[in-house]
Amino acid sequence: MTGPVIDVRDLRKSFGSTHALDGLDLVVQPGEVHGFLGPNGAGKTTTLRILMGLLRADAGSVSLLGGDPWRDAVALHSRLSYVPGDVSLWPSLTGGETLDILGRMRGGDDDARRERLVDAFALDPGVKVSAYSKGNRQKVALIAALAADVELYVFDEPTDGLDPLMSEVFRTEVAALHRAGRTVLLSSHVLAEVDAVCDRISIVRAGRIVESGSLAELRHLQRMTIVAVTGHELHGIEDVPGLADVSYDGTTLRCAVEPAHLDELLSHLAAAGVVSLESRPPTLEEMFLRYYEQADGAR
Amino acid sequence: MTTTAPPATHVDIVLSRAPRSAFAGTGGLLRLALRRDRIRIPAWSVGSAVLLVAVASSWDRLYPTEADRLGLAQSLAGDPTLRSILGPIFDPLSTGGLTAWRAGTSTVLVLALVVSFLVVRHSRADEAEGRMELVLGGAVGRAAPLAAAVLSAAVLLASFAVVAAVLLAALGLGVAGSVALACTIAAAALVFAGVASLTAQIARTSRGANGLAGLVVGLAFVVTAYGNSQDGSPLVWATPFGWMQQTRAYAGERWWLIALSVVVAAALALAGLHVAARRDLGDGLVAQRRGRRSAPSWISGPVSLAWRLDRTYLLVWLVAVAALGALEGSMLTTSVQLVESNPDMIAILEKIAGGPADLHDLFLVTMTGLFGLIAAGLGISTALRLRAEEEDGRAELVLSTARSRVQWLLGHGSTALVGATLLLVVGGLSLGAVFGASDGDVAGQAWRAMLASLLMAPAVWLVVAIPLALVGVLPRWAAAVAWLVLVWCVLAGYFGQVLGLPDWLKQSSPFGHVPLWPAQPMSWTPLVVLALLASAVLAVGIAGVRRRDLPR
Ligand SMILES: Nc1ncnc2c1ncn2[C@@H]1O[C@H](COP(=O)(O)OP(=O)(O)OP(=O)(O)O)[C@@H](O)[C@H]1O
Ligand SMILES: [Mg+2]
Repeated sequence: MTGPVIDVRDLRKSFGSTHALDGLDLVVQPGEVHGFLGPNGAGKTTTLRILMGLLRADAGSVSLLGGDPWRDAVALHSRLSYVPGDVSLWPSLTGGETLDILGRMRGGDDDARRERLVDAFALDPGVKVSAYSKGNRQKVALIAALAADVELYVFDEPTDGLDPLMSEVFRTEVAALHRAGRTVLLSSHVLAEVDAVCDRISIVRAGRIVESGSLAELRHLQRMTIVAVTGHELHGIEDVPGLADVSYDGTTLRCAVEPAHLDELLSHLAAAGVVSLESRPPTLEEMFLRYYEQADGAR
Repeated sequence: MTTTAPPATHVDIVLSRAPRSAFAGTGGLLRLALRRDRIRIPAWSVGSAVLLVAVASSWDRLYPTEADRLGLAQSLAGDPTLRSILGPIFDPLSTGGLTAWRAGTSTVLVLALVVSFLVVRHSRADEAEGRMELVLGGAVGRAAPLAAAVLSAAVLLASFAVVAAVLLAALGLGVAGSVALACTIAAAALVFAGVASLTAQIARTSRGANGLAGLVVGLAFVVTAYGNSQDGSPLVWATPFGWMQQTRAYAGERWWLIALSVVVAAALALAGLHVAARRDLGDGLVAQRRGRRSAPSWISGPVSLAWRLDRTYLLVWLVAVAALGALEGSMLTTSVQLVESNPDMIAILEKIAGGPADLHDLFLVTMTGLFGLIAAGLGISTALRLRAEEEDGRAELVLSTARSRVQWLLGHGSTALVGATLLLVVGGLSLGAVFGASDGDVAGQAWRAMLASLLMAPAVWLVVAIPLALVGVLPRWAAAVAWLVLVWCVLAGYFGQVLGLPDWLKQSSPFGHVPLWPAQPMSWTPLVVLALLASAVLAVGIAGVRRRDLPR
């Protein structure tokens, strides 16, 4: 496989008067663990459903594993596995029966691999689904997806309902898929999870991608927080472009600065005789909140 | 009669043992239930009342003179099938008496099912889907949801009783009789709301609770029908159907039977509330079984999965129809014996069949006609599981595997079509075998009755293909339209004559075209046309499901 695993261009989808997707682009390369983030209602689930051939795109081009997800759905599905956002299973079947049946419908699982996952997730496969807790139902869907040896794994909020221990097991499994060179697309609201397993992310809001890149790149695009104490009074600080949240009490400067203008700020500080300097990259929360809040502003 | 209500002290004990707070919030929940069902409740209560009144207003047109009615009464008295199903006719000369006899039992049957499902819908269904957790988290007692559910059923029945009594009295049928008929029907149905309040505690799923309640309704109906077919059987006093019939509306009312129904209903509801106030949320009285750790190897796709999921449901229906067939088969002999000595009755039956025919065959085709409607009901309810699969999100899981949309549709689609056909076979075989046992030709009669019953198949397929087509093209309308079609078939088939519907309306039901072999000559054309129509409708569904958004 040479081209991208997922290549979505200018994707549009409306439900009545709601424009769920409004020109979305998404590229996922082979071997990548790609995080897909955005506020509630941004269009993540809609995108994944179009990729699964469940919904038909109104406009735009979608290529999945080199094929058309709507036309070639059945053929493509034996090469991928998917965990939907709202997991619902057949209440009268046991977890073990469900795993068997889903595995066969996808085209046959590796039994040893499934046994290992059932152990890792500490699932009791002899219990009826109606008696499982929400977390246990989620585990069944995760095991069913992870037990398949396929090229692409697509997860819609996979750790919803899992306890921290089981979320950790999930991260370990995704890391193993990554090492094995598989491609993963993961929609999530859990930033720590995204930080731990994803090497690239795309942030969607109001049906469009607002940012896409590696976490390191994204961090670089974001303002860092600076706290500096200077020997002399600072002058001309207001002329430095790209500063925000500035507070200065005559000796201590606190501000946030865009990476592109860090150099200018530092030369001002140096001119005033820096006594101490702290710099902190944005936390994940700060980074995402900025993108998400823009979303609010745009509404 | 000694099996009346439990002593009042028992009721007191139940109430006092339940913590008071168990009922907190019932009023609010009742308002919520009435709001959610603001269409359903008036539609069923007023609809049933209007149908009852429509039957009442038809007698003067159909049998205007006393002589007509005496003739009718004479021939009816000789028909044990009618007597068994509808109960004894107490006053054939008054319009009220005829109405109570002709429409009372079927109205109870319909309302009993409606209120049972209503109670389950507002109790176990909410609980199984997790909505109740939300409610009980607020300041609401454990028994409150069930109390509100039962009360909403009572509201439905009370409004039915008021509308029916007023309309019947307005027709001039006599106030006392009208009030008695309306109240006794409502009270009998209320007993089954009480039954459902218990089955909702026993089963863990709403499907299970509905099935159990439906089974009790069916059983009560069959017991009463059997009691009516025997002379002086005490069984006519055993069920709410019997209590309704024996109330003798318009013919010297026995008011205390209405009170009996109400008291029994209250006792059952209290028992249900008693359990509801004490058990854990989500729990049932049927113990949760562990199951097998791996699936048998034959389940590997949507079709085999649907058979695994539906098999218990289908089996219950098949057993029920086998029992019904056996009952009908055992009545066939006595029916024929009694009618043979009644030339008036023979003349009436031959007029219906459009020519002279063997009496056995005449009764046979009436009974297999009933199997057709039951099969259609089974098929529709099974086909509509596709919608539940889609709405709950399980369709999304299946369609993300390497299985096609058409396979998905044909999952519950195949169980619906084949299951309905099997029902025709089993019903016919059982009817024929039991009848044959009395005349010494079990195999021959079973075969003949099965063939007669199978003639319904193309019409059943057409009706069952309708929800399948709608799942493909208009999914949100599938349930409503499919059930309306069935109601229409029942109306056209069973009430068309009484309501004085024009012929073309009666013929709009697919069942109106099924040849009445062996009572009439066989004719293949309508069967072929119906089968072709069914395939065309199914093809619409297949084309639709391939191109629409799913889930939608
Ligand atoms: N079947 C549908 N009918 C109507 N509107 C829909 C449908 N599915 C999604 N939408 C709308 O499309 C928009 C995008 O929804 P989507 O489920 O893709 O969001 P999401 O990013 O997955 O959100 P969340 O983080 O809450 O899961 C929302 O405004 C939603 O209300
Ligand atoms: Mg979502």
